[in-house]
Amino acid sequence: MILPENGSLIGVDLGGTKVAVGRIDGNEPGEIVQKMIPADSKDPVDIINAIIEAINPLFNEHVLGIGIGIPGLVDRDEGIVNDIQNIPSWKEVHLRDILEAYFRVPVYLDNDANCFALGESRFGKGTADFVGLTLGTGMGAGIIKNGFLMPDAQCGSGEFGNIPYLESIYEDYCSGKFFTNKYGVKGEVLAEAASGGDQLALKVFNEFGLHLGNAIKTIKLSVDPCKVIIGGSVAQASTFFQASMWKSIYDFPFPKAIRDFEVIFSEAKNIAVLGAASLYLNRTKQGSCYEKTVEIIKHKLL
Amino acid sequence: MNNAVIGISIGGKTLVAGKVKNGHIEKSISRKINNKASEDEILKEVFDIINEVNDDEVAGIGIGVPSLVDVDNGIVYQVQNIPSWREVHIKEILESHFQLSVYVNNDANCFAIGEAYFGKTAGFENSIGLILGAGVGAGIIFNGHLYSGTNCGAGEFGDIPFLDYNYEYYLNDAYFEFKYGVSAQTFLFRANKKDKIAMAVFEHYGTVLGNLLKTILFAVDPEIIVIGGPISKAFPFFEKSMRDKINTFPYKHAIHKLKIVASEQEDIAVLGAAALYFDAQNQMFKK
Repeated sequence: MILPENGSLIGVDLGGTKVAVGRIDGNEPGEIVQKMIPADSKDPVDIINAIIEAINPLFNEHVLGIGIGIPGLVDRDEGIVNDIQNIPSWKEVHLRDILEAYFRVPVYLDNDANCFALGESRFGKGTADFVGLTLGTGMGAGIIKNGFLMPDAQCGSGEFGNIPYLESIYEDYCSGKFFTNKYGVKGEVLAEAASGGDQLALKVFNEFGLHLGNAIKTIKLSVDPCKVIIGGSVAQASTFFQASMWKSIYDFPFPKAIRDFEVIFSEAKNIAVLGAASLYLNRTKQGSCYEKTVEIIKHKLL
Repeated sequence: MNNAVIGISIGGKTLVAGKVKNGHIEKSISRKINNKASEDEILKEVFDIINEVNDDEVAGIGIGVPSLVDVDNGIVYQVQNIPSWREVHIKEILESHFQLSVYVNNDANCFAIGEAYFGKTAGFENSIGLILGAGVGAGIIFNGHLYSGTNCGAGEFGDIPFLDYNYEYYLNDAYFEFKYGVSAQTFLFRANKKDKIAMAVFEHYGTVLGNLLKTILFAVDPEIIVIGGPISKAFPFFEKSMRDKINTFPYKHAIHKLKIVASEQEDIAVLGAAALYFDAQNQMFKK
């Protein structure tokens, strides 16, 4: 990763109940601070203020840009949050313009799965071409090509969780929803039981792995990555579903294509915040009003 | 794009070659081949057809093959309908024989890059070219360049599971014969004459295709999708049900901007193969 000397970046991971902010100084990740957000507030401004307050203590004159990961639908080019999980008051929030006006540095938005993939690419186990897959309460993915996020039309690539599967969609079988919806038990509880050798819990994870393997085959057929890196809370139970996951993957229609194919599990900490900060380094294809404004001002002055 | 390039499409039954210059095919030859012939016999057919369109202006050769392709090394594996072509190092063989740069890719990728250079997706940065015919496959164009994936396996959406098989099973042209005992061509002929049954068959086809297109949207989120291959001629008959299905997509503003069109370029296989050369030249230029 290349940052100008003395340059810093700020990464923001916006969740349903709290916001996490971290600063990267000269390529070294620093401390991460977390702050609760009033997600239920009817006034969208309350949450914007909470984000600004969380960024403020870490902000200084060396900060080159701010990147924000959003668990929802983002219009990357316009810097608008269209829809976000767990924050009902936010509809079409022009978050980039608001934060650029306040902090006077370029701001980049992307969805949280894309930030995870970018974080793994810069600070984790990522290589030039891979798919970062997050399995938590939902299922999302970011596609990295030549070290950059896939420059899709509307920030909507990698939504493999929404692809039809059996009678519903992959997300219902390959995220935490599988455990709660099909068995009425949380994934964490099942993982603990599986650690103690509980046969039923192990059977549930075995079934989960078969479905996840099918999802990974669909990813392989769609964008043909050489590697998939899995993160999110469900990844922590990987020992219980890895074997059945591979059994399912080996049934791929083109055996030659999966000979060197890897599926690995994320171990990096705070990858969401680091990935959000890395949006600055991924910015070539992403418009920022700030940069455009600077260009216009320069043009007028010269 | 000022160079002349030879584009070759290798099918199971025919071999087509054309000299492409300034976006037009100046000279083109189509020939039936014996797909049961040996590897060398079919290679000789390829040499012969190149010789017939080759001249001093030609700067390179692009080849589209219905198979798995090692794009970097120009090796084709297990070519559909040509049993003797299990592993052919076609790039190496042709480059040493003709002293020209040779680029190889699968037929769906050629279709996508051909449309991006010479067809309906020209001017778009992110597009998909989807072929509906003997197989169902797609090529992905990102930032104006072909995105082949690690093993040239990107865009194999047809192999994604659907109902009790996969999309290709329900959308390839043999399915019509298998399911209804009537060929896709016959249905198309009948639908053009306003035959109600034929129109209903294509309406059903559009619903399945709509599901596949939704899957493509979720996976790679393109600006435009161009549909080609023999079944694309029935586009007017499956368009409405296809769009109705796509409109069930959960992100409304995403489908609002999406464009879906049918290919109208008859010579796209040859143009697309030739476009492999231009794509490679432009990628090098960018680097």
